[in-house]
Amino acid sequence: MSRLSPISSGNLLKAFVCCGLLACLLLLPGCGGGGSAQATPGESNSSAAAERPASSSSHESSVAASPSSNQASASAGNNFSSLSDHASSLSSYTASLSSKVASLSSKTSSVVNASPVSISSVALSRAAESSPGVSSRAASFSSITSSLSSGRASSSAATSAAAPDLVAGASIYAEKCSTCHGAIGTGRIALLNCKSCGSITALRDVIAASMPLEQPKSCQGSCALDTAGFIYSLQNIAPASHFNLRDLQLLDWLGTYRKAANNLAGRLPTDAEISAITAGGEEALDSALDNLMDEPQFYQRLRDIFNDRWLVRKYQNGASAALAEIKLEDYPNRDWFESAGYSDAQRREARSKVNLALVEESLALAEYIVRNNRAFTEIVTANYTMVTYSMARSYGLEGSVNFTDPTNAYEWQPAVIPGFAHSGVLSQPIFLSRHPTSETNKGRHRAYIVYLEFLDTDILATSRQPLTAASEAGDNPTLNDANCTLCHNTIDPVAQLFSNFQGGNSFRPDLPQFADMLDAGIAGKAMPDSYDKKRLQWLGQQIAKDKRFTRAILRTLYKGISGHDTLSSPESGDPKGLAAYAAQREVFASIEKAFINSNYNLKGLIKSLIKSPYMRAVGLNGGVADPSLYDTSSTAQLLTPEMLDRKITAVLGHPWKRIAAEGEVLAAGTKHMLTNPAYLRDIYGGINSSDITERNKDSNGLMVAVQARMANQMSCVSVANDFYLAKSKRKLFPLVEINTLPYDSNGVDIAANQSAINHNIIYLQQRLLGKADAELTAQLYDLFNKVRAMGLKRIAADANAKVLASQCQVRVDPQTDIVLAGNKQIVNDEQYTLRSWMAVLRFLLNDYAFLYE
Amino acid sequence: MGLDRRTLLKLMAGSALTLSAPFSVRTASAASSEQYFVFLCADGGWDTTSLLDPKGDIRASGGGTVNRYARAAIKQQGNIRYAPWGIGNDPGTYDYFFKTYGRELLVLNGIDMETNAHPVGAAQIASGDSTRDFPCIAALLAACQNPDLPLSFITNGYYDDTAGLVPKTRASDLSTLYGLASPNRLQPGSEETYFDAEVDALLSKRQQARVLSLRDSETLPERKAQLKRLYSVRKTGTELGRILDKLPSAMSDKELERQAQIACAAFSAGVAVSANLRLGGFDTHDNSDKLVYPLYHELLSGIDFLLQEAERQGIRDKLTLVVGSDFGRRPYYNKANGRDHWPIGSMMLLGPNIRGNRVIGATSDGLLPRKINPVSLQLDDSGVVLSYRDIHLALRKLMAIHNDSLTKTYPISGLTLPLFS
Repeated sequence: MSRLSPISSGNLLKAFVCCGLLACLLLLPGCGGGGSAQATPGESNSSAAAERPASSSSHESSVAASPSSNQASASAGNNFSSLSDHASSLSSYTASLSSKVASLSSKTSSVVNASPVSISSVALSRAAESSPGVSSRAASFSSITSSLSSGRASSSAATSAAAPDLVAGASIYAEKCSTCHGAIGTGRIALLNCKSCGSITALRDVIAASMPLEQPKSCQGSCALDTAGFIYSLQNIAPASHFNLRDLQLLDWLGTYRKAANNLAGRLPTDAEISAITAGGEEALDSALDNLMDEPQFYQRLRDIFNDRWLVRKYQNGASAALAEIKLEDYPNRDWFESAGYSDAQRREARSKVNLALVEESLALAEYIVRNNRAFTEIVTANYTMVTYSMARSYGLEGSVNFTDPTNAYEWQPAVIPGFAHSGVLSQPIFLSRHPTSETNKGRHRAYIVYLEFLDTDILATSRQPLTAASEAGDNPTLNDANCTLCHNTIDPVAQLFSNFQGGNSFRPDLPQFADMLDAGIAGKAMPDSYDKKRLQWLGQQIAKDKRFTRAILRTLYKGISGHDTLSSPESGDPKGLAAYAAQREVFASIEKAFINSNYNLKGLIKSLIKSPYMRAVGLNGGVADPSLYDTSSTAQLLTPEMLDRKITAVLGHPWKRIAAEGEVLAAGTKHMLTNPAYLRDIYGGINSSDITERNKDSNGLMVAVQARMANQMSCVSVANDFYLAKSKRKLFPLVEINTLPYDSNGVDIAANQSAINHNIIYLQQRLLGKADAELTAQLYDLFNKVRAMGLKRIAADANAKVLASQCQVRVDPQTDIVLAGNKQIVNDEQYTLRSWMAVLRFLLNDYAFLYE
Repeated sequence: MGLDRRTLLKLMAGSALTLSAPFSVRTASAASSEQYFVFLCADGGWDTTSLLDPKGDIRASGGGTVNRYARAAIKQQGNIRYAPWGIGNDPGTYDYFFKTYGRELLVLNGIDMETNAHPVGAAQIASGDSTRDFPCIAALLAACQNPDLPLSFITNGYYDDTAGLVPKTRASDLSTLYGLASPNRLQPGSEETYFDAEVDALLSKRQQARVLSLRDSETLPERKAQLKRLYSVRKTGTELGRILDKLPSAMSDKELERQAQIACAAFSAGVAVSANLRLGGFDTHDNSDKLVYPLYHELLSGIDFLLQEAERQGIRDKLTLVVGSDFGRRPYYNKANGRDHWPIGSMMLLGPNIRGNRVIGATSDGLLPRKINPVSLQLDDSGVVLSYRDIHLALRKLMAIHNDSLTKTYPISGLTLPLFS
C-alpha cells in the first residue's frame, strides 16, 4: 500500500493546517486556470502531454501588452495603460470591502459562544501565546466569526443547491487554514485576490480538488463547501484605501531605457538608441530592450541574479572547492589535467577552469535557456546540462561535444552525460552540493529549497507549528506524529524525489526510496513507477506545470533587478499594506500571465518588469492625500557592488581598480575594487554566497567611506587622463579644455568659456545621473568657481601647490601605457582647473542619484 | 597572533585601499555609551550535552549512551555543571573557562526552541521570534540606542535582520578599516591627499546639502527615507576615524578573535553599540565528538579573548555577552556518530546586571525540558517551560529598551521571568 498521504478521518483536519488553501492562493488571480510549459521534445523533460496554458478569464490587462506609446515626461504622469483598469478595479474592490468590514463589525459576538462548533477560546489563547500579535488577530477573527450565523447560510453568492455553513467553515478555517492564510485571510499566504475564484462553488471545487496541498481531495463535500463559504466571506474583509497606481509619476520611455541599460547591461544608452526611443516611444524601447538582452553583460547580470538565489558561487572561493565536490567514482576523468603532461602553471590553470565551470554550470543553463528563447521551465526540466571544454573532459565527455574554440573557457555547449537523468539545475552536482543533505536529513533541505526557489513557498515560514521534544522522542515522528506531519507530509514526498541522489550529489538510479518516509510525490500526486530511476525528472515536470513556478521566477527577477522583495500580505491586516499588496499582486499577476502565454520566455518577463510602475516610479503626483500609502512603491535601490563597478566603468571608461603602490608591479588581470572578495565586495554590501547571502539595502558607515574613497580616487585618476585625449575621444570633458577659464586674469567674465563650462557640467550630469537640472547645474558651476578660487589662493601662497597629487597626474599614455615625454605629461595644474573639475566629478560620483538607481 | 600593525600597513600600501595614516587621526572624542552588547552564536545548533547540560554515559532512548564520558566524571564549578573535557589552563579548556568566568556566568538550560530548522532556530534565538523582518536583538538595541553611529550594528553573519531600523555593517578585516577611515588620503603613512582639506570640507558640506535638498523634494516615502538615512550615516561617517586610535596593534589569525577585536575597538571608539559574532561548524551530523570539542575550545577561547579585549579597551564593565545557538542536538548518536537536531537548547550570558554562578532550567535524562516556577525559577513540575521568547523579553528589559516605541513595534508574547535579577 502506498505511504503517500496516509490520512484518516482523525488527522484529516490536522493535516489541513499547513497548506490548507495554498493552491487557491497560488493560482491567483484565477484559481480555476491551469497552465504548463510547452515542451521542447528531446531537450526538456516536460511530459508529452504538456498543455498550453489556458488564456483564462479576467485580468486581461497586461503590462507587456500595454498599448500606450506616447512619451511622457517624468512629471507628466504615466503611460501605464492598464493602470486605469487596475485603479478602477482596486477602487471598487476596496470600496466594497470597506462596507463589508463595517457590516461585519457592527454585528454582535453572540454566535461564537453559541456555536456548536465554537471557535475554541483555548485554541485562540494558545495561538496568542505562541505568536506575537496573535491577540489582535484573534480579536479580529473573533469579531468576524461572531457575525456568522450557525447553520446553512443563504448566501446569494452561493450557486450550489446547498448553502455553506459559515460557522462550520469558520471552525475548519481557524483550525486548519489560518496558520498559512492568517486569521482573517491576510496571513503570509494572503487570500486577498481569491475573489477571482469567481464564486463559492468555484472555490469549493478548488478546495475539493487541491487542498490541502499535501493531501488533496481530503476535504470534500460540506467540508469544502463550508470552508469555501467562509473564505468567500473573508474576501470582503479588506481595507478601504485610495491606493492608486495612477498617482505615481513614471519615468518616460527614454528614462526607462537608460535605467534598464545601466541595470541590465552596465552601460549608457547609445546616441542611436536615444534617437530611436525619443522618436519611436514604447515600440522603440521594446526593440532596444531586445537588443540589450543579447549583450554579454546582460547575461553576466542574469547569472548574478540567479546566483543571489542559488548561491552556487560559494565554491568560487578557492581553486578547487567545486572540484572537491565531484567524486572520482562518479567522474573518473575529473582530474584529467593531472595526467595531461602539463607544467605546474598549466595544471593550475586547467584546474581553475574546471572549477569555475562547475560553479557556473547552473547559471550557464539559465543563460542558455534565455539566450535561445527557450521555455524557462527548462531550468527544472532540461534533460541536458551545460559544459565548457575543460569541464566536458572532467565529465568524461571529451569528443562527444562540439566546441567552436576548445581553448575558450567561456564557451558553453549543451551536453548529455550518458546514463544520467538530467533534470535542469535540480540534478547538477554543485547545485546539489550547495543545498546538501545528510543521512538523516534525507533530502528534506533540498525539498525546502525546491519549494522556496521554484514554487514560491517558504515551508518554514508558512508552517510555524511549534515542535516539541516529546514529539521528537516518538517513533518515527515525521511519519506518525501529527505535530510533525503537518509539515512533513508536504516536504517528505518531495524530499523522497531526491533519493536517487543519496549521499551527496552522486546519481544512483537504482537506489530505493527511503523506507521510513512517505513515498515520492508532490501535492498529493504520487510519482509513477516508471520514473523510479529518474525521480527528479518527474519533479521537474510537476514544477513546470505549477503556476507557483511563474510566481517564484518573477519574484527572483524582480528582487534581482529592483533590489526589492515582492510585497507580502501584512499579517496584521494593515489597510495600507493590504492595498499596496493587492495592487502589486494585480500588476504582477498580469505579468505572470503574459510570461506563461509567451511559453515562459524570460526576456518577455524582464521587459514587463522593466516597464512596470514598480521599476519606473520616480515620484507622486500632486494631491495625494496620504503618501504613506506608497511606502513600498520605491524604485530606488542601492547599487550592488557589481552594478556600481559596471556603472563606473561605463561612465568613466575605466573601472575602479587597485592602484599600485610605488615600486609595486600589479599582476595582469588585477581585480576590480568593488567586486573582488579580497577588497571591498563584502564590505560594500555584496554577498559571498556562503555565510553572507543577503545584500545590504542601505549604506552604512563603512559603505559611505567606500563611496567617498571611490569618488575621490576616480575623480583624481579620470580628469587629467580625459583631458589628455583629443576632444572627440573624451568621455567626460568634450566641451572644454584645461585652459577654459571662466574669468581672465583681471576677473573679467569670459562668456563663451562660462557657457562651455556650464554645458560640460550639464553633459556630466546627463552622463552620470541620467538627467540634468538647472539648480544642480548652478550649484556645480558655483562649486567649480569656489574650488578654483581656493586653489588659486593656495598656489599664490605656495608655488608647489600647483602640482597634482601623484595619482592624478598623467605620465603614461592612458590608451597605450607608454611613458610620455615630459612635455606631454600632465603634472601641474597652474590654473587649478583640473582640481576644480575633480571636485565637480567627485560631487557627481558621490551623489545619491549615481549610487542609487 | 597574525600581522602586526607595521606589516599590515606595508601590505596595505599596495592593496585594496590606498590608505590613510592610522596614527595621525584626530583624537577620539566618542560619546560614552550606556552599554555594549555582543550576541555570539554557535552556528548550526550546538550539542548542549557536551558543554552546559552534561548527561554522561546514561542510556539513551535510541540505544547506546547519551554521552561517551562517564556520568560520574561530570564537573562542577560553583553551581555550574559542565562536561568533563578540555582539562587544563588553556583559555579554551572547560576547567579554565568555568573557573575564570563561572562567578559571572548565567546558564539557561532546557530552552524550548520549538523547531529543528536552522533558519527558524537562528531567527528565534537571535530575535525572540521567527517572524520575517523581525530585528535581531543586537540590531534592535543599536536602533534604540544610537542608530546613526557609523558602525552602530556590526554583524558577522547568522540571523542579522535589522527590519530596516539600523544599517548593518560587515567589518571583519582590520586592514579595510584602516583604509576607509580616512578616504581622502592616497597612501598609508602619507600626508598626500586627493583634495586640500578646505576643498574636502566644502565638498562634504555641499554634498550633504544636496542630500537634504533631495530628501525635502522627494515625494515617494521610501526614497525619502533612503535619503534621510544616507544623510544620517554620512553625517556621522566622519567619526569613523576615531576607530583608528582603538584598533589593536596586531590582528589575530583566528576569525572569532578578529571579530572580537573589531567589535571592542568600535565600542571603545564610540562608533558602535552592538555586534553579532559568529562561529560556525556546530551542525555536527557526523563524527560529533571529534568535531564538537575542538569547536567548543575555539568558542570558549574566543569568549575569553573577547572579554580580555573588552577589558583592555576599557569597556568590559559595560559589555553584555549572550551566547546561544539555533537549538540543541539529540541525546543519542546517529549511525554516523553524529547528532541530529533537537529542539531544546541552552544559552549562557554574562554582563553588568546579570547575576552569575547560576543555572536556570534543566532537562531530563532524555533531554526533555523540565518546568520552572515562574517566580522562584526553581524546578517545578507545575511551572512553565523556559522559552526563547521569555529570554528575549528579559533581555529587552535588562537593556532597558522594553518600553522603547521601536521595541513595542516588535512585540514578543513570552512570559515575564526574573531571569537576571
